[in-house]
Amino acid sequence: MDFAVFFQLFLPGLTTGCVYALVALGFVLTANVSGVVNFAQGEFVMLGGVVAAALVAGGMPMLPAIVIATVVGAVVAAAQERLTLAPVRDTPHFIRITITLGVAVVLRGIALILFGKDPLFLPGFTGEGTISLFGAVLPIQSLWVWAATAALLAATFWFLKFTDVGRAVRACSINLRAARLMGIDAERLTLLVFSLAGAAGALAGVVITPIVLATWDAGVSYGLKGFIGAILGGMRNPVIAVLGGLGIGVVESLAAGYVSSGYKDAIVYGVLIAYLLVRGGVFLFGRAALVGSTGE
Amino acid sequence: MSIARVWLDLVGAIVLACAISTTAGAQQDFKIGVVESLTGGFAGPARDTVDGLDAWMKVRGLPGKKFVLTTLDDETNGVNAANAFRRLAGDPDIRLIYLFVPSSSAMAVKTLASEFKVPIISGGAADALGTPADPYLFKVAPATRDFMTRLAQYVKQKGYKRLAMLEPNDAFGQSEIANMKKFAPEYGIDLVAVETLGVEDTNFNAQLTRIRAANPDVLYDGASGRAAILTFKQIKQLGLNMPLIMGQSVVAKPFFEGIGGAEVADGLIVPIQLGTFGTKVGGDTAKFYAELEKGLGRNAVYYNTFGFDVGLITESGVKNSDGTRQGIRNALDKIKGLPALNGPVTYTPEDHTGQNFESIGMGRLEKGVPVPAQ
Repeated sequence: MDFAVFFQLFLPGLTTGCVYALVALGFVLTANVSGVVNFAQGEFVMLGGVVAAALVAGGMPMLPAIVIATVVGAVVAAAQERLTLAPVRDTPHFIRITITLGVAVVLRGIALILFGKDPLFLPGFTGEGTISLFGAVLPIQSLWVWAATAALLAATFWFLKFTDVGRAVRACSINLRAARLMGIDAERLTLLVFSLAGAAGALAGVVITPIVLATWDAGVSYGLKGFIGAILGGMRNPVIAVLGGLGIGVVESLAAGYVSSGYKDAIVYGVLIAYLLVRGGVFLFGRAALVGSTGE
Repeated sequence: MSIARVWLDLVGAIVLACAISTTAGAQQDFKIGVVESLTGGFAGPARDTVDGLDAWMKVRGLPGKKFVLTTLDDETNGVNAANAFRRLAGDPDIRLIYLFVPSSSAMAVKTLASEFKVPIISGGAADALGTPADPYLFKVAPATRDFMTRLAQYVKQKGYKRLAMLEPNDAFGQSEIANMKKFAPEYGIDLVAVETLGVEDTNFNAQLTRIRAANPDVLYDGASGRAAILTFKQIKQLGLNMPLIMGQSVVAKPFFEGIGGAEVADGLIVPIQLGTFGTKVGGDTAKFYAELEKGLGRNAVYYNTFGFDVGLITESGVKNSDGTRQGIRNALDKIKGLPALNGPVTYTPEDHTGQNFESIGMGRLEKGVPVPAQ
């Protein structure tokens, strides 16, 4: 095996996987506290990218543009929760999920109107140069993507593990109804988690934009791949969701390189289907299948 | 008021209406239907095309005829294009229809063209628009096969032997691959790598790594839009230093902004229609280009030149006919070597492509402007 080729495929896949991982984390956290899968999660990545790129193109320095784009992600996510989900909290799941799909479409439409159809460019945080790592050539911005992802994940897991609010989020993920009965204000918690997930998505969008550009329709792809990561984590486990997101980025890049660029999506979705079938007990036989089906 | 007075007023009104209608008729309105992408992804090129057509009307037009355009938006959508075409073709006063829409929308209309028996002058680069020919649909720009012919000629002329292609996985990209596979043996070219990409993809390391391993003399990248920007940047990042040729769609502001400035693309080679070179190539192209710029009042962009050519084809079709739908169609069908801005236009009953590879030149970008490549 040519290791330079392997790393040339693996490392860019890891970079894309970082964004999927943050989206997957957003899916899991919001689903845990609200009980709804937020299909607008990928749109916050798009939002962060286009807002930051537009601000920088308008002459704003990079740092304030990054901060504003992240805040915009948080505010829009909070607005989504307050205006579209809170009023229908007691309706069936499929209605709330459909609403999140509608929000995604609306956000894309607004972005198209405000920012246009052409891709928006954001300069690299430390220039447009490249680095060589294990024989692979990468844009320097990849380091920013990895660093931002690592920092966000560390902060999130610290928040979940060592703060009261984080423990409340975990309690909600174990049993939402019981958590409410124990006095946890799930409504406020939901608003907070939506805001954090929106901000994380937007920040992911900002750091990846110098590599992939920002377009009004980019959220669909990030949302779908992030969703697969979240599904791999059973919509419950943030660690597995993050690993799933990273894995999807790597798998699609390796598949494109070693199999065919035309089959990479088929392979990613194939992995998902296989996983769901295995997890659903389709490949269990005999007593194992019987136990699964009867719930013993 | 007496009944006689009412009748008198009524007769007077009718006479007045007839007089107005006769005066309007004297202006000889010539109604043309336009299916145009006013919104959606193709809105920019469509607008530029109409600007070019307007410039033709201003500086040339047809003496004694007033062109009246009825425009419907297809929203860059094939189904809408077909519906808009039906509505326009259903108006018996409309004698000609323009399609300023992408290839996919034009193809949707092609299936209906003979049903309404109205001549159509169409945009779009897809080969299938011109061949097999529909008796009523006349394409203007050269087909994919013509661009690939010119590319193969250039590769041979420069002495390159090993060509790699990076193409989108859509119909346009696959058509370029199919054509080049056909032409490569004829021009002594070894097609050493053919890689495809999804137009929504952002990471092309896999394709470029395989292309690098194939060690080509020259690389043709047929991507457009965001994929063109990202492939260009990643080609540079990976240090692929072989000569790079890209499709003519990259000669646009969004591409230059995306790659970090027009000068970054200096030296990039593009197969591009002659009109883009403006007055630099002389002959009919230079003459018509000067007229186009006069009509526009500014520098022209590619789709302006296309709109101007649509005007020139209309001019020929209407002048050499009785002005009826069938008459215009018959006149268009007989056009042979009509001088136009981007190169001569020829139609035969079997081939309604219009311009061919002779209307394409190889351009080298200098600060975002294509100049004829040696």
